[in-house]
Order: sequence, then structure tokens, then C-alpha cells
Amino acid sequence: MTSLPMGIGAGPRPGHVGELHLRRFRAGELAGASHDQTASHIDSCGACRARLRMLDDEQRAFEREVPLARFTGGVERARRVPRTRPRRAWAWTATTVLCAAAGVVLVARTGVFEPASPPGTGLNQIKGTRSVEALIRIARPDGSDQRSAAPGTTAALRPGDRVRIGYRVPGVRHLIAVSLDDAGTITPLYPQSGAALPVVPRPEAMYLDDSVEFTGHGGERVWLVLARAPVTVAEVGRAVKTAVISAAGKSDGLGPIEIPGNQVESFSWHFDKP
Amino acid sequence: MTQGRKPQLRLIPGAKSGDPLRELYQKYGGSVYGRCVYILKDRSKAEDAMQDVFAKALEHFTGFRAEASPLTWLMKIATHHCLNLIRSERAPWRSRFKTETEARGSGHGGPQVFEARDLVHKLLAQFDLETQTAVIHYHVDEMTLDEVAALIGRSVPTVRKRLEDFQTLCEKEAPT
Repeated sequence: MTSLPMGIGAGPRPGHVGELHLRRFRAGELAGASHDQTASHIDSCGACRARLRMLDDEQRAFEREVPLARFTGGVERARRVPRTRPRRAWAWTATTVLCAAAGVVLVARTGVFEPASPPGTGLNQIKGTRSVEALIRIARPDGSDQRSAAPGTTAALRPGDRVRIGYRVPGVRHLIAVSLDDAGTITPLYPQSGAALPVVPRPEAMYLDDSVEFTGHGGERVWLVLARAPVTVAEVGRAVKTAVISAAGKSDGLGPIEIPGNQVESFSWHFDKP
Repeated sequence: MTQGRKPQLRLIPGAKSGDPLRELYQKYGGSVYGRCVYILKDRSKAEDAMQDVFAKALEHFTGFRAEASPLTWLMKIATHHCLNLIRSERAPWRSRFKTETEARGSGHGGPQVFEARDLVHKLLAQFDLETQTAVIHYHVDEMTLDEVAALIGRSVPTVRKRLEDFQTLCEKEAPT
């Protein structure tokens, strides 16, 4: 095919990653050589990096426009009553009701706290690369009294305190956060199962959507793992377990997480629960 | 990993672990909704269409998860579903887009100001469903000929012919 007039995209762009391929990369669908080639290209190509950021922005805009509660309600409704023709009248009413409900959820999501640029930043320097940053913000349930915690430190939590994890990456990474309590329970925080979340460089620090409240007593150690290649929650769980065993079951003083065949940067924080 | 013990933390707002709808929403929601908006040009209709697409994904969830690329499957279903919706409305694309173009007015730069995708969109109205589908996957998704052919179940020469027909119209009607 020859190219179309007016600069209209004509199939795969020579020397660049096609849009669907980029979307698949963002969704964590690529693996092996395909993933590595794509990640390497994105790291070295500003245009593709910018397009990947646009896809990231597209998802964020979608989540603002169609909150999760409205999405799930709409999909469940569509499963029950397949649409064969326009039915705007009642759909509008139902959507309005769902919007009202979603508003409550939205308040719950955004009302937790909006992290500012924190001073408590963890930097990991890998030779020849810019730094990866790992961030923690702690706040009261209403978002007040915010503070940061640097990686490798211990932070005391008060009842109801909520913790939010953030990052800034110089290249494409695959993110997983897990926690380990004093009893040896390893809990996936983000995502809760499956493959890691691919994250891309952005000028500003990014924070995970969910915040975490630690309940019970004793200590809790949180790891933020940023891998160069795709990784699963199960793999990170096994790596943490290995680290725990090598440290004789004590969560204090654990070293970095290691995953064979993958270049991983890991950060950890210890929290004293109230 | 220790089993049989309730973790001493809670996620806020949290969701049921492994909630398939939440996973679909976070991974694919923006892509599918964007495709529906692109074709339908109406955010309300696009949201309905997106819900239909994800409802289909849930109905065939096991097979859907087993797809080599669930995203490609979703984009194919979304494209086909939206193109069919337009056909069922019996509103010719051409007249609809003429109206849209006029409605933009000089404040938006007038009819001359089209993004490339808008032009593709406008010209699609003159083709059959299969050509429309092939054009969108090729020009918007930037899939290769081989990929498009595999996705819509046609041979590469057939897809090439469809795209060449579209190309010919583009060269004839695209503003200079």
C-alpha cells in the first residue's frame, strides 16, 4: 500500500510501533521478544513514548467520564437486556440513577487524598540510566495531615491512616506492589492478581489509584517492584517468600527482590501498625 | 505464601479480588470506548455500545481470556458492533457528516479543518461493512495487511483490494 494523502495514517508507520500494538503493550498482552523489542523501541523513540502517554491519558479520561460503578452497572444491564434498538428514554433514567451512585464512589476515591510532590523519595540509580523513584504518602482518611516515607525507613501508622504508593520511571517498567505482615502473610496490593501493570515515563510522579489501610497490630513491610520485563503477582510473591526464607523469617533487614531472568528494581518500607 | 489467614490490611476503595469487570475496565475500557466514540461520534451512544461489547466479552469470558490478544478481539467486536449500529440507524453517513461538518462553523476552523481520522471516517460512509472494518483496522489500528486479513477472515489480496478502493477514493476526494 502506498501512503494516503494528507498524512493520513496508512497502516503500520515505518520505524514506529502500530497503534494496536502499543495498546496491547499497555494492556500487558505482549511477552518475550515482542515485548522486549517494543519496550526497547519505546525507550528510544520519543514519538512512540508520546503516543503511549496519550493512550494512558485516554484511559484516565475514560475513567473520569465513565466511573467504574457506572461501567459495571451498564455492562450488567446490557448482559440482562441485550440492546437491539435505541432505548434512550429509560436508559437515560437508569444512567442518571447510576451517576448519582457513582458520585458517592467518586468522592470515596478522590476524597482519600491527592498526593503532592513529596520530599520522601526513593531513588535507584542503574548505571547508564536515569533514576527510578518510589514514593509513599500517608494521610488521614479525609486526606489531611499528609506525610511522606522514604524507602528503607519505618513509619508509624495511626488508626485509620491510609497509605498510597507512587512512582516515577525513566523507561517502561512493570509494576507490582505486595505486603508482608509479621505472621508471614504476603498480600498482593496492586494488582491483586495476574500480570504487572505496565507503566511509562511521565514528567510528573504517578500514584496508584487505590490507597491501603493496614489493620491489626505489629509490623507490615511493603514492596514496590518495578521490573524491566513482564512479571506476574505470583512470581513476585515467590520472590518475596524467598527473601523471607533467606532472612530466617524476619521481615526486618530484607534485601532487594530478585527474579531470575528479569532486571528488577525494588523498594520497601516498614510500617508499625497502631 | 501463607494460606488460610485473613490479611491484616484493606484496600480502599477496593474490589473483589479478581473482579473481571474491574480488570476489563482498567485494561481495555479506554481503548474500547475510544473506538466506539470514533465511529459513532456520540458519547452517549458510544457508552451504550461499549457496554454491549463488554457484555459480550463476559458472556464468552473463558474463550475471551484464552484469546492470544483479548484487546484485538475487543476492538474487532467494537468496530463491527458500531458499524452495524450506524447501518441500523439507516442514516446515511454522508449526509450525517455533511451536517456535522457544517455545524463545526468557522470557530473551529470550518470544514477544511479535519483531523486525518475524521477524513477516513467521512469517506468510509461510501463503502460496505467489510471494507469499513478493514480500513479502520488498517488505518486507525495500524495493523499490517496480514493481521487485518487474519482478523476479518479474508485473504491478503482481498484486503489489499478493499484498501486500494478506499485509497482511490481518498485521492479523489481528499482536499488539497
